[in-house]
Amino acid sequence: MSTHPAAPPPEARPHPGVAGADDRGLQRRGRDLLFAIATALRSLQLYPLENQTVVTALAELETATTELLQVEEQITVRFVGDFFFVNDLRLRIDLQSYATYGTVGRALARHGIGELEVFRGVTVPEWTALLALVNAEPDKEDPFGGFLERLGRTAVLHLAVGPDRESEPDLRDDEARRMARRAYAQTVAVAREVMGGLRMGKGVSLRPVKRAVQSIVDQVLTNETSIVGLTTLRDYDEYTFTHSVNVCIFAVALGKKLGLDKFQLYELGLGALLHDVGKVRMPLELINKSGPLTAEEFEVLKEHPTEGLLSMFDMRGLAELPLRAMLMAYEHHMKTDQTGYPASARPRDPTLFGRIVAVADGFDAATTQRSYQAQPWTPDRVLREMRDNPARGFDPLLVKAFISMTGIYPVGSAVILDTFELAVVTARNPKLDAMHQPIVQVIYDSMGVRMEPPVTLDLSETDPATGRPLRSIIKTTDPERYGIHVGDYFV
Amino acid sequence: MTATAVHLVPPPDDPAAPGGDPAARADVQEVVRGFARALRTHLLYEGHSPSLDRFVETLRERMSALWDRLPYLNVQVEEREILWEGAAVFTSEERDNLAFSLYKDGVRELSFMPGFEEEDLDAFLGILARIHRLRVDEEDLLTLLWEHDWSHFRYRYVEPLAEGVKLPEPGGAAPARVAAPLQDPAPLTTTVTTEDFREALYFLDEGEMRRLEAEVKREMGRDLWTDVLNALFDRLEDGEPERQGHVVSIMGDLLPTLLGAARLQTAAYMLGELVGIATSGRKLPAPVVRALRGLFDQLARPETVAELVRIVEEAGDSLPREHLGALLAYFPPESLGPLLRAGESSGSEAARAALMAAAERLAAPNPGALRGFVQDADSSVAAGAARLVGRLRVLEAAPDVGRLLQRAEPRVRVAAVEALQELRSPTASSALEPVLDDEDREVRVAAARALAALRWSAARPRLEAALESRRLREADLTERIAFFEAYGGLAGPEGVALLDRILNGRNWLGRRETGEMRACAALGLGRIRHPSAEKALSAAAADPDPVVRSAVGRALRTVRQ
Repeated sequence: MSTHPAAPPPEARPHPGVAGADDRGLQRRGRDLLFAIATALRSLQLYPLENQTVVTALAELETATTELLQVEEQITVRFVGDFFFVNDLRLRIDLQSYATYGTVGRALARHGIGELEVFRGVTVPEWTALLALVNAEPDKEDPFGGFLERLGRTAVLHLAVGPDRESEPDLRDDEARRMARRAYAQTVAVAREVMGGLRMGKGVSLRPVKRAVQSIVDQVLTNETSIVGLTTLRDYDEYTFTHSVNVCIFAVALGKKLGLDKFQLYELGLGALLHDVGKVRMPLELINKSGPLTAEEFEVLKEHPTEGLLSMFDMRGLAELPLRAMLMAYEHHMKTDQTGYPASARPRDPTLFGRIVAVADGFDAATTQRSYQAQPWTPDRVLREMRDNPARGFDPLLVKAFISMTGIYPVGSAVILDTFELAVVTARNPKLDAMHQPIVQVIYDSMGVRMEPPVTLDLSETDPATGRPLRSIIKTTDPERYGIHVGDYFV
Repeated sequence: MTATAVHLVPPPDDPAAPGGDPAARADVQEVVRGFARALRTHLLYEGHSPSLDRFVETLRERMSALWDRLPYLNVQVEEREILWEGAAVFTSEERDNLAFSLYKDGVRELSFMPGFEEEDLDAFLGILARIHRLRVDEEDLLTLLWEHDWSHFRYRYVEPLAEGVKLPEPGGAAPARVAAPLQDPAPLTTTVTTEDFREALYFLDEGEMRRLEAEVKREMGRDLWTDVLNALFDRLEDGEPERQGHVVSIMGDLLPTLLGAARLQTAAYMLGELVGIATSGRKLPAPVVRALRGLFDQLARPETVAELVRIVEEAGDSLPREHLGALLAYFPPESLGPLLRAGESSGSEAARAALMAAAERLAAPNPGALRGFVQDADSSVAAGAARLVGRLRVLEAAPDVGRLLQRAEPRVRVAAVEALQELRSPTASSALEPVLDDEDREVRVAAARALAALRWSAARPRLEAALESRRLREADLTERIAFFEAYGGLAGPEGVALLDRILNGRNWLGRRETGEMRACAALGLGRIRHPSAEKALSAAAADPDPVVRSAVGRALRTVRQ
């Protein structure tokens, strides 16, 4: 059985302070509040208090707050990862709001603030005091503690802040991981079923495929770290299937970063999961060949995008022909310089979704040990190559967005710290300015002794005395060399 | 991740007695039955009716009242039952019932929370009703439920491949101590550089965000069909014969899909490219050429054209006429007959015009071929062919068209009359004379107008007789006007006497003719640009009968122009 995860569980709603939550209204009002906070923060940075811009911005903030407090008893704004929640309703991020939310998120994250509570009766002077503190330099030793202390010295009674709880142990982590594992395993099973069925020439039902993609989209939207972490399970099952699922996960995560809505993510995920479906028409001995391919064999393999396109015409079960999915299968080996394959005689501007799948496919393929690649590349090296080598033909903007999604050290990277400890990256740092300082689990100490259990560290933590990071990454490495199965740290 | 609703359902007071609080159970029963009733009404009235509004409103009130008893409502779905607290609150033996609708698509549990009735109820009922109407291949209930952003509703379903799936587990234990000290890292390591920390390399700036935003927008509005078709054309041109055959077979399947979706422009593009490929001098294997030809042959089938006409008629004005014209440009000569039939019988004026234009394009290079169609037993084909004979002035076909005047179907005779008018030959014109006495009114009117247009004065005696006849006096106004105007046009000043007598003649009881007959005579006089006609008209200019006076005024204006 599966549960649709879009809504929080009954115990989480209604929010204690919610009076008959009107989600559609809350979505709009929450967005207005975030925009008003962002504008006020910025105007307070640029102008003195008496400036008309500041006065107007604070007046708009008061209006936005009052509107919300007319229907809600109190407002709780939580900032988790990339998302804002207003009274447990996740605000939808799109490309019209992304930058604004990011500005507010970064401003709060500097002080370690993860939660802001607003009570009825809040006044403009209270907002002014709080936002001025947010704009101030954070306390270097204890950003959140310092903020609380400063706030305590002001006459702010109707606003309260809570700490960023992202890096704290989450009681729901086990459940989240279980759900992610389930979605992952189910999707691998579906991929195997569909591709196996197609290879046997059997008719396949697309309903399980749709269901699996929906579960991946749900996971990426609510539980991204867990589901992305599972892409490190390189040897969990046959490469073709796990690769398809990994590409699906990476593509949907990148699509989320670009602000695609749920249904668009579904379309993207569907095409990404089926992007290699043309391989079912390739000889098995070629697919499973160990060692490099001959030129002739490569020519044969180059036909799989076309075969993918053609085979989707034979599929039934979708209300309409899956044109986007067809193009993702057809275009995922095309390059931005019009090279790659298949060659186009007619003008072709590869679709955005096709280019997204190309990035996701390129990353997963290069970081994985597979038939034609005995030695995979380290994830950071793959990112660097995708970014710096135009001959690879990836869309540079999408690569940039991809790196901003994975972090410089993607989840699953094995890294050596300047303490000579060996660690595995388990999460991107939720602090937006700490892209190079991920959350890691230390597997071996500096003497090479395995740590049981592994120790989780936030590499952005600093030494209070010097203000320098306690630990830094000096190198990345191949985990297999040390007998590390990276995937173990995600299951 | 959220906990599942089922875990949160408090156990009944007495586990041995399913059903929980009887009063609450009665309320739940009412709510669930309310769903079934609202769904039935929704289906019956297709979502719009005061009855439906009433049912939904009642359901809303019941749900709202339910929250006084329960914090939320959690029910299990079985094939013919819906259970609450282990006991059925809805049962139906009918196959097409609420429980089965949910059950067959895998839904096994529903959880409703306070607020559902305000924000989610309408959408929920809409989806249930929609799933009843969907065809097998279309989106399933779970996809529809998934697409919607529910505020106060959750559901659980059976995963098709959930049972028996091996969940990933941690792999074998790694060695307790690594073989090599870490201070001597493996050669595969990558050294970190300061470059890695340059934020500009990774953070999207505002300009880049805008570009991506524009990309997403463009992607969503993009015509994917052209992209897919271009891929197929590329592969048709460079593929192996087997693949080429596959591509052509896909094209064969796509054509009706495109036409069915009223994507006529895309279909035209597809046909145009195929023609281009077939005529480019590229050597295509014989079976592929045959398959391509077969595809175009399909267009010539009457059913294909009839289906196209249906699509065009259904689409109405939303379908640009030029798209239809572009598509019809690729119809082969063999489709002439079906096009003629469709062009003659379509209810859409735009479709008729486009179809006849396509038929004309096909017939123009070989107008003689139309003679065969004129003799077609199908009245629509014969009529359409006759019209084209006229438009293309295929004089040698005049006798064939003339023979159509003997056909039983009035519309064929009308088409023949109009064609003979277009042919403008003595043979054609003389053939029209007897048609003034045709048994069908439409045919007679067409003939009168045709003879007037042709200025076929030989028809004057027959027209004169008609004007005096009892039949014309009993005919409708349109026919009378047609005959009087034809007579005036053909007779000239010599016809003034007769028309003047009808307009101004008196007997001992007063006017000899009715007002309508006199008005018709006035209009006939209007066609005679002669002082004598003006004089006759002037005599009636102040006639007390407003119908006559109006017609006289109109005719005088014509005469004096």
